Amino acid sequence: MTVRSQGPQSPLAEAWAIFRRNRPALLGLALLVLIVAMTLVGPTLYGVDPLDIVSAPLLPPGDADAPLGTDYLGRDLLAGIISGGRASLAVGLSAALLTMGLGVTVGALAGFYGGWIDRLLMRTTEFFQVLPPLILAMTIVLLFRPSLATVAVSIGLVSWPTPARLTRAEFLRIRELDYVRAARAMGARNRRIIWRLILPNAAPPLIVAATLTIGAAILFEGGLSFLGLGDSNAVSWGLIMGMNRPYIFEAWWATTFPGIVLFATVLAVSLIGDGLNDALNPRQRER
Amino acid sequence: MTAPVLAVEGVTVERQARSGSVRILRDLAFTVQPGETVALVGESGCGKSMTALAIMGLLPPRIRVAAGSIRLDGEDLARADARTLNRIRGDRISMIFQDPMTALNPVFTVGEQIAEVLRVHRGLSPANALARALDLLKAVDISDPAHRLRQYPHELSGGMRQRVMIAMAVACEPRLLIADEPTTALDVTVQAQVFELLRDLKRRLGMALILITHDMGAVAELADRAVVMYAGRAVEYAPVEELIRAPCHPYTQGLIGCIPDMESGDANAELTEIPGMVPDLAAIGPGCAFADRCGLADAACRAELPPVMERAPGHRVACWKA
Amino acid sequence: MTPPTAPLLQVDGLSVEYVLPATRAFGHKRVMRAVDEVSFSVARGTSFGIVGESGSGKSTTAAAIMRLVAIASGRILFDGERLDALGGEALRRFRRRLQIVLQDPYSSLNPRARVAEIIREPLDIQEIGTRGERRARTDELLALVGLRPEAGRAFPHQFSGGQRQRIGIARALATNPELVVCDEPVSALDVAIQAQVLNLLKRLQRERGLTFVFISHDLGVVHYMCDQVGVMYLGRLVEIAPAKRLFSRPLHPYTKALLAARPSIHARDRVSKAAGAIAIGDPPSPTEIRSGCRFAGRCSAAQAICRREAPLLEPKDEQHEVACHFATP
Repeated sequence: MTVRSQGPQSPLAEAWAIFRRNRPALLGLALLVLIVAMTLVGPTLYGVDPLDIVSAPLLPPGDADAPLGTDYLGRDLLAGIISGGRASLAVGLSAALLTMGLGVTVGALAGFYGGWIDRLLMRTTEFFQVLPPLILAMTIVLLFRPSLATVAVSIGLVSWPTPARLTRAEFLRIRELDYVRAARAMGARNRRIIWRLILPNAAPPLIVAATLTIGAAILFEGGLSFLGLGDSNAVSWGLIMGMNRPYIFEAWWATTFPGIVLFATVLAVSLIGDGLNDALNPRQRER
Repeated sequence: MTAPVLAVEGVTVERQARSGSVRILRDLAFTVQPGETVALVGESGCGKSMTALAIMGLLPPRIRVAAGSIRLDGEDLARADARTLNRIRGDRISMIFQDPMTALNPVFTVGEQIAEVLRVHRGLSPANALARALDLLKAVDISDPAHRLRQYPHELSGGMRQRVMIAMAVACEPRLLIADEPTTALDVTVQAQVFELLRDLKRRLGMALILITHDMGAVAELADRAVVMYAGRAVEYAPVEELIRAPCHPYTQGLIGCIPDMESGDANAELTEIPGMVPDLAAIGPGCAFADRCGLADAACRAELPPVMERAPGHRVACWKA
Repeated sequence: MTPPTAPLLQVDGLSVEYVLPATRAFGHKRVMRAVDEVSFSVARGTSFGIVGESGSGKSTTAAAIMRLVAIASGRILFDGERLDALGGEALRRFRRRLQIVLQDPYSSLNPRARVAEIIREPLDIQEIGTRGERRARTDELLALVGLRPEAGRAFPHQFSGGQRQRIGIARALATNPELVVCDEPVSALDVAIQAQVLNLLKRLQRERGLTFVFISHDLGVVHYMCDQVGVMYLGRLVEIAPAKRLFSRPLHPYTKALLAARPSIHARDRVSKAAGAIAIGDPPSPTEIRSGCRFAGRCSAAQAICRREAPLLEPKDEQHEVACHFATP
């Protein structure tokens, strides 16, 4: 007997083939690569210290010393945006990792074991969900000293319920499928069923959620910093915007440019997330 | 011979795809006489359900009748506009499906759904339609019909839901009822009751029936004549008794031979196998589509499509080797 | 009653219960007996068929034998060992001796694993053989079920239903089990493909001396595959007999109704069906079981006693057991 369909073999290769045909997603990917490259190699190419006072304060864009103008202290805005990306992306990434780590663990335990474990974990999840996230995050940051780490942790602590519910739903669904039953009949241990059977099959929506979480976390960090609750020692896009907030009417550029970059980053991540959603969505594939 | 209720002639149905069109039905022709039951039988993907949808004018998007005519009492449905089809469907032709749960609307009661058909096609008042719906539930042997009338589909068992579907389908006393795998989702004891009901309704209403099924047993139980379909083509037409006693096409022989049969003796005899599987419709060569799975096939079979030839009166076969 | 050799599988008074959610807030949870006091035994190298309609408990019986659902009461003896009493690591190790083939060839294979990984999975789980040995065994199993070695590198979605069921059979045979429970293995397949899979199963049984518990709603399939057949109705076994005997001389009215209802290609040769042979109405929901014989509501021969007293499964002669107050040939 012969194999029926030719074409891409593994589900991953197939997903990539679909993703590759998705223009907005590719655009998002290119944009993100550009932004990441900017924050990584930018400082060596554009050797201005973001904390140095280079010129007069609130200089409009187009100046020879500061292409994007200066902030309220006379610091170079372009240098600030370039190096601020590191903090924003780092916080976004680590907060997303924490969110997914917590969420997937809680959701997997609740969905797999059920019973009182499920009830306990889901009530806890609901408790976190009914608290307003921004207020909760602000409280956590204020309880400790605001730093990049506390900001990331606070974002993680308020964001995990969504992936937890998603993971639980996927585990509940896949747990009952026949191939999991078959594995039980073979004597597979729970560890194997969770790691080898359920998690890989639950991965597609979780990967999408993780991607979108990165965008949300970057935005969240920006919001906290804008409100003055960020790490005042680490330049981030949100911090620049927050510091220049009082001068928004005199110097629109000092808040607008970091805002545009922040917007572009979140947009890029969202486009990639949507693309992944289409590519990994099994309903698009033939059985 | 009287004029047939339905005359399908040279019907070819195509699916438009990026890589050109694929023929799902090829040159299909058969008739259904008044009061007669004709079975369309074959495996999944043979085009039997697509034939029903073509007759009903319910083909999915990008699939269309490319050639041929489908005449209901002389009126060509393949060329009818949407308004005409809407008038005819549910009135002169109706259809019942495999899964009565998804075919019924979950948010309306059984009575409301049957009454709806009568109000649309017969213009009955709500009260009259509901009274007639009660009669119909009695006619399909539903126990406690007055109570069932007020129930929702999910409150009924699978067998009762199929009876409700049948009541809706025969509400306007159609000339032709198409039953697409009507009992596949039902238990065997319930299936027998539904068959009995269909036989009874046919006799009482004098309607013709097209039975679409994969089950040769169901064909033998219910049908007068059968059309065996393979890869979008009718390969054998015959009166059912003759088809089962003396099948001519190797595919028909295979279909009958592969059924585990407890009436005819030896359980230790191996079942006849049809090797391989149904071909991809887009990759069918110029010859007979069954050639790759056929023990009798030779080069000629692969080279040239066998025409439909009359073997005996009313018994036609498309095979070079029959 | 005892077969000449000790049976490989002996099921004794097996019951499985499901707890249904309460219908009212603070109401009592209801318990539904999906399998009720089921007893039968299967001789080594033979096939025991269980037929019944939806809700009969046949698949739950299969799951209980596989220890995939909790057993409420009863014993399961496998080769003399108390399978029902095993737990933890001992049960885990024991599982290599019995395997299951599931109905749906689409949901029973992990879509993210290659076919070779799927077939090898029982060997990995049971830690049988070295890597090389497992790989060689995988190729051997592919050949055994009529698939090419290249198939091992493909993913399940690249195969048709029949081929996928072959993969499921190869997986079930990986650990060389003595008992294979086949839970409706062909009911999702086209007839022509059904014959291929049934012939394959029969050949494998002959060649490897396998013992089958074969679950099906299709009497023809069970007749073809099985030596001994049990008929289940709403959680109870109502009749057990050798296949030939059961189908030629059924005793229980439900078995007769099943046989009469089965569409047959010989429908025309058959004398018109005795009207009484067809069961009345739909099978009741398993949650609404009343006292007495469970078939009484649909049985044309039912008397007052049938609604009062549940008949026990009793031997009519050394081959034939039936649970009916009025069982007649």
